[in-house]
Amino acid sequence: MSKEQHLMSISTENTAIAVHNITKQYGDFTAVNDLSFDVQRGEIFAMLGPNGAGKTTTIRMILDILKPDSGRIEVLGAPINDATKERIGYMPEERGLYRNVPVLDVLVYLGQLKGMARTDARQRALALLEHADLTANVKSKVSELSKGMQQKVQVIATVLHRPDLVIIDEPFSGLDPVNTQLIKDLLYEMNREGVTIVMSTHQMHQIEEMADRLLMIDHGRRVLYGDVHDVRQRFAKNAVIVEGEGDWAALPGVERVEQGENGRGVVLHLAAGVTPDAVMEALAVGAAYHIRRFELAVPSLNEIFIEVAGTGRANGASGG
Amino acid sequence: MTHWLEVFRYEVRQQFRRKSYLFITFGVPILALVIFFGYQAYRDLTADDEKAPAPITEVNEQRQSIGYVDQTPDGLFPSPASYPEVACEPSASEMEALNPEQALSQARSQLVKRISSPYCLHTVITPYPSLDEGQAALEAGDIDALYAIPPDYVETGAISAYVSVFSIEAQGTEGLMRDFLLRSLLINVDAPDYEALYLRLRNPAVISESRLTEAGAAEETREYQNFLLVYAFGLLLMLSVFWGGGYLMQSVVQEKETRIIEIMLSSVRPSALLLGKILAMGLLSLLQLGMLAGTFVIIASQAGNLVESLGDITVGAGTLVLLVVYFVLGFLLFGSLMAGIGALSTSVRDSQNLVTIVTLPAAIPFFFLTIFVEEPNGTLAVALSLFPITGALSMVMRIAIIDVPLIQLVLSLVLQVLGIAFAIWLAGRLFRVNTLLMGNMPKLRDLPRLVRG
Repeated sequence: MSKEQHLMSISTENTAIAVHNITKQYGDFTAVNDLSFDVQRGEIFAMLGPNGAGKTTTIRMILDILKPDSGRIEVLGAPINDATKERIGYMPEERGLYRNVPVLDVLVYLGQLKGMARTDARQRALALLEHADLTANVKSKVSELSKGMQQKVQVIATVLHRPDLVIIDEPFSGLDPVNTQLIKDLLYEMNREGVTIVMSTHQMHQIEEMADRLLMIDHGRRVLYGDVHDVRQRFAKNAVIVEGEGDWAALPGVERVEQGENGRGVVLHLAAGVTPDAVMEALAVGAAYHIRRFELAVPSLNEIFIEVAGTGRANGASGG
Repeated sequence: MTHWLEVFRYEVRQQFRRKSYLFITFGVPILALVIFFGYQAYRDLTADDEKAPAPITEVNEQRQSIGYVDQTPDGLFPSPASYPEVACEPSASEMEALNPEQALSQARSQLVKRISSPYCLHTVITPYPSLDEGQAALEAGDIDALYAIPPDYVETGAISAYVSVFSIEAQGTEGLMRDFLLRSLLINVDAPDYEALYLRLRNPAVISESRLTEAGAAEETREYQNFLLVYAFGLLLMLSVFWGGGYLMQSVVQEKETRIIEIMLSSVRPSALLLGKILAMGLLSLLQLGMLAGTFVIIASQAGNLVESLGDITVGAGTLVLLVVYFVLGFLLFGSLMAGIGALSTSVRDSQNLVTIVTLPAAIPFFFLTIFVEEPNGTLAVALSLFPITGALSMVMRIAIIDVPLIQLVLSLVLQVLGIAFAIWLAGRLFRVNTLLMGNMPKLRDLPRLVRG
C-alpha cells in the first residue's frame, strides 16, 4: 500500500459521511449546488440553513432516498447500500408513526426493517421505553400519546437498532425542557459510545452547546463549514465587551462604543491595528476605570446565521 | 429486494387485527353456515311431526267447522256422518305404507280410500237442510262458514259461500269444502283408481317450464340457478378484488398521511415496499375469497333443501380453479392500479375519490347481469370478458354457468397478463420516492411527468 493510499484509507475509516460535489435539480430549480463536506466518525455535526436552503434534500441524498444528479456520496466508508442503511438511524423533520398501532408494534416493525431480529427488537424497545419513562404506554396506540411522548417514541425508533450514524432533523422541536434534556442526554450517551450524530436544527444555542462542527447551506451551496469554535472566531469583530465604570470612549484605540446585548456592559469597537491586549493594558493602568468583565466580542451563532443568511430569511423555522 | 418479507409479515399481522376483515373472512361464513344448517335442522324436526297424514288427510289445525246446504236434485252430497264408520287415523304400520315412495299396492289403495272417506270429515262439516237454518247456525257461531251447493252445480261447478263479517275463522275453509266435494264425488270409484284420481285431482298440475334451445331441442331451464351462480361468482370476485385492492391503497395512503413513509424509505426501497404489500393483501384476499366461495359451494350444494324450485347446485372443481386464477389476475391488475392511486393521494379521502376511475369501469359487467345469464356466449359478454379491465369479472360470471370456449379463455388470459404488465409498470412508475414524498396531490397534467420520472 502506497503512502497516499494508506492516508486515503485512514481518511475513509475516520469519515462517517463524505459528500463530494453533489448537485440536485428539480426542473429549473437547483436544490443543492456542487456541495461538498464530510462528517467525521464520532462527532456531533450540525447542519443549518434558512428555509429551502437544501438541507433536507442533502439528507435524503445521503440516505439514498433521492439520487444526486451528479457528485458522489460515501456513507460509513462506502457508497450507500442496503447493509449500510441498517447502520443508520434517521428521524425526518416531518415526524411520522402509524397512528392506530400499539407503540411496541411500531417500534418492533421499524427495528425489523433495520435488520433486527423480532425478539431483539422487542427487548431493546422495551428497555428504551422504560428508559424514556414510557413503560405504561407500551400497548397504547400512538394516537393516544401526547405530542412529547410521540416525540420520544420517534427518537427511540431512530436509535433502536443501535446505529453507527444517526441523522436527526430538528431533534428538539415540540419538546419541553425536561424532555429536551432527556433526548440530549440520550444523544450524548450514544455519542460517547462512538455513534456519529448529524443534526439539522434552527436552535443555535443547541448547536453551540452540542456540536463539534457545523455546515451552513444557503441556496444549495456551502456558506459556512468547520469547527463551531473556529467559525465563531472567524466572525469575531475587532471588539471587546466590557462591564464596569469609566469613560470608554476616551480609551486610546477605541473607535466606537455601543451598548451591549441585553443592556449588559458595552461593546468597544477597536480601530484597525489596535489589539484587545493593548486596550486591556490601557484599562489596567487607567485609575479611572473599574472592570468587572472583559472578553472578546465573539458573535453567537444566531448572529452569524442572521448575518450570513440575511435578516429576512432567518425568520423562518424549517425546511430545506 | 431487502425487507419485503418484513413488510409482508407486518401487513398480514395488521390485517388480521382488523375486525372488519375477520368478520367478513370468518364471521360471515360461520354465520351463514350456522343459519343455513340451523334452519335445515329445524325444518327436519318439524317435518317429522307433520309426516303422518300429510298427503292424505287434511289437518284442520285451526279447528274450523263449516256447514253446507245441498240443493242438488239428486242429493249428491250426503252428510259425512251418513257414510259407513271407518278408522280415520292410520295405524303406525299403515303410516309406513303411506310413504309416497312405497310401491302401489291393493292394501295401500284401500287404505287411502278409507282414510279419505267423507266420513272422516263428519266432525268438522255439518249439513243443513235449508239455507235459513244454515245461516242461523252461522250467526249463532256454530260454524265458521256456510257453503250452498246450488241445483246446477254439476253443470256450472259454482257454489256460494257465506261468512260472518270480520270472520278470521272463515279464512281457508274453501280448502276443506273442496276436499269434501272431491271425496264425495269420488266415493264410488274403485280403490286402485281412487288413490290415483284423488291425489291427482287434489294437485292437478305440477308445472315445470321448458323452452326451445337454438338447436331446437327442449332443455330444462336452469335460469334460477344460472342467475344465482352468475351473481354469486361476480360478487365474490369483485368484493375480494376490491377489498384487497382497497386495503392495499389505504395502507399506502396511511403511510403517506402519517408521514412514516420517509422513515420507511430510509430502510426499504419503494419496490420492496410495494411487493410486500401486494403479496400480503393478495394472500389475505385470496383467503377471504376461499372462505366465502367455500361457504357458497357448501350451501349451494344443498340449496334444494331450502328453496325447492332452485334445486341443488353443483360447482365443478374446474370452475373453482378458474375463479382463483381470475382472482389472482384481477387482484394483480386492480391491486397495482390502486397502489399507484395510493401513491398519488395525500389522504384517504383523495384516494377514495380517485379510485372510482378504476372501480366504476370494472363494475360494468354487473350492469349487464341479465345479459350474462341469458346470453353468456353473446357478443357483449364475450367482448367484456376479453377486455382487461372488465375481463376477470365477466369471465368469472360466464364460467359460472357455461364451458367457455378454450380459445376465448386463452385469449382472455393473454390480454389479462398484458393488462397486468401495464398496470404493474404504471404502479412502479408512480410508486417512487418523488411521488411518495409529495406533500400535495398532483394535478392531472402532472401525471405524464410523474410517470416519465
